[in-house]
Amino acid sequence: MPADKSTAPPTSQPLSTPASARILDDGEMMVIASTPMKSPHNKVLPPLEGNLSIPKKRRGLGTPGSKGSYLNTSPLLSPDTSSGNDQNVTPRGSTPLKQNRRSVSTPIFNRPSAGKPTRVVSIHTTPIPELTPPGSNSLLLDTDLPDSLTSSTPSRSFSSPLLYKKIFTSKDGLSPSPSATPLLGFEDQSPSRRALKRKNVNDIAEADTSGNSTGNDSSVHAKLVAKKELKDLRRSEAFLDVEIKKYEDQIGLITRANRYLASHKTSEEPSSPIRSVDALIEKWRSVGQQAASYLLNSALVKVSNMGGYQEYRKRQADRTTRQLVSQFEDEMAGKYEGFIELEEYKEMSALDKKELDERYNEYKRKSEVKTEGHGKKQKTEEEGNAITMKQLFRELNVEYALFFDD
Amino acid sequence: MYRSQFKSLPFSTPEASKKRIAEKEVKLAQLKLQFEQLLEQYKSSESPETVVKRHVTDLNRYNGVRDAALAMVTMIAEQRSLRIADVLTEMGVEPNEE
Repeated sequence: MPADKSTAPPTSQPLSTPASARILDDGEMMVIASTPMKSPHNKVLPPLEGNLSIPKKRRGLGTPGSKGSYLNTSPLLSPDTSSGNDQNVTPRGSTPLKQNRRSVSTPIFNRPSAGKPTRVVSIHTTPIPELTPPGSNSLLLDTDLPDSLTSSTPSRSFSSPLLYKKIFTSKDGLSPSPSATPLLGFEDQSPSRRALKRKNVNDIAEADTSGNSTGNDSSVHAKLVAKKELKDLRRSEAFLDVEIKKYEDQIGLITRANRYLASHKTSEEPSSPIRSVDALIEKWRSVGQQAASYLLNSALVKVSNMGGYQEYRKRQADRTTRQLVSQFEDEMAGKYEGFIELEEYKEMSALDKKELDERYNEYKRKSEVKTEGHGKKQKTEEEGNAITMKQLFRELNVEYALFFDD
Repeated sequence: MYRSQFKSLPFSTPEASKKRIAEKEVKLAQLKLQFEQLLEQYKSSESPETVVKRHVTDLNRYNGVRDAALAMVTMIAEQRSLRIADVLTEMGVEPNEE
């Protein structure tokens, strides 16, 4: 098989894969490529005509011109939209295809070269479009809605989908009127204007009462005036509630005071069965005094049987000392003795052991001093030859002044 | 049920508010008249607040005295193996009396 010299490039070299070669009869060497190699047929692409414009592919979109293409279904991109040709326009109310979900108010399709999808300009450089016309204009557009509905072509005036939905979902469903949404004009305005309106509600209401309102804002102003009036009524009602509560409290207080005074006056009469609180206190005070006297006598008898008052005091002091000592032993001595039996104490250095012993001895000495001081204090308090009523009340833990005057 | 009752109340109507205000004004006028009548009946040098406070203090004192006296009476009854009512009767006090 002769080699094609015209088509084969002169510099064509076999690839790195192994190849077999043989010498032909005319003395030329032929290389047989048994493995993949560069094609000997050189295909040259046709020359480029005009500008290279490759449309950007969108996911799920068909080719331009095919059925279901976005460019054909969009009413705004259709070249004959302005002429009223609805053949290529998909109604907004009908079930949209997946490709038609993009908002028609996107600025890219409002450009003159809408047929050619191009790159979207940065949002920072794009001027903010006026999405909604002034309130009065939008309401005027509503009067033409039935025609728009019957033609199944969404009006291009409704650039805001939200406003579109709001108007079309009014109560009557078909003929939204300004009275159905009285605050629609307010919602159309920019946020700053809305804030100003909210801020100066009272000023507007006052202006309305003075007759400066225009015809379009009369219903809104009437609402504001009614709101202000309701607010004033609530304020005056709250004031009345406070006044009523105040007078009810005062009346209750005077009624109670009159009742207490009347009962006190009635109890002073000897024939009256009602006793005042003072009389009841006196009654139970006398009962307490009698009981205390009985208890004191019985205590004196016990003390005399015990061996006298001195013996009683001595026993009392011993009992107190025993209590304090047992308290010390329970608290500190028990802990100390338990600790010195532990391995931890045995592992301590001699210096630490000495310090611990010193602290324990110091605490023991302080507790002994405290016990002796308590005994001396008791002696000074209970000087005398017999137990007194005050000592009895102290032992009983009862307030002496409740029954006896100091 | 509560919600339906709540919703039925005419809170936001100016007419209902005016009606309630008129009723409350009448009530306030009656309360003022009653207050003046009570002030005329009140004959004491002390203020009503002082009288009420003193009464509350006396009640607290009465409770303290009664409890302490009953505690001592109980001790006596235990020592003598008697009932509290018997001890109180010996002291000249009716047991059922306040």
